[in-house]
Amino acid sequence: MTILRTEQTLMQSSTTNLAKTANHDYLATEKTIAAHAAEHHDYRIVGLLVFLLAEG
Amino acid sequence: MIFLGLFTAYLTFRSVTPVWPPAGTPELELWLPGVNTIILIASSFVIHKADVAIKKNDVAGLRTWFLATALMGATFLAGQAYEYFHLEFGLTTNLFASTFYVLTGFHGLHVAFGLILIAAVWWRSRKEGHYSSDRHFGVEAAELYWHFVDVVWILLFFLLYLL
Repeated sequence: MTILRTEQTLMQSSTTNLAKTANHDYLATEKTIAAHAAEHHDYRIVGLLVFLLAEG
Repeated sequence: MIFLGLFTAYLTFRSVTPVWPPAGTPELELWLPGVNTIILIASSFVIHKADVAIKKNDVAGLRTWFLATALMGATFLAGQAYEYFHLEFGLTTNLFASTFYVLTGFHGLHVAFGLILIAAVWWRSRKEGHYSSDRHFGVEAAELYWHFVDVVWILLFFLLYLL
């Protein structure tokens, strides 16, 4: 959760700077990626499954 | 791998010992662990109701079902503690007794940790909007862990009490 928030904060920070210096709509692109990551929490499920495998 | 290792050790001890449990080991009662098994299996269905509830944005339902699961888990632990206090063998009585306490004790620790997870999700869910139909990884993680603890107990019950 914290990692995701940190990632999102970094993405927003970097895209804000990029959007200022280029015409490309980085912000929209990054927002899409961040939304996708938030929606599909695959890496967390994988982490949990690996943990349970180690336990079991 | 940890539980698999413990199960393998138990089965190895069992296979190399002529009489199992070793002669003189008091027989295990079945009714209390049997009831405990039913409670734990039922709790897996109950926690799943919480998952179904949050997927419908029903936070009140999530809280109710998580509370019910926690109570069932606590009942299981209380039952296990009662069994421990009334068993006629101790940790160092013989090989069977030692493996029995290690397996059930290690599993009991996992149940206790599961209760902490459930309590944490329950506590966090009090804040409006913390969990919703499209944002509820904590709920799913606690549920998956609880199912895992349940499956391990079924194997353990079969090995220790029935086999």
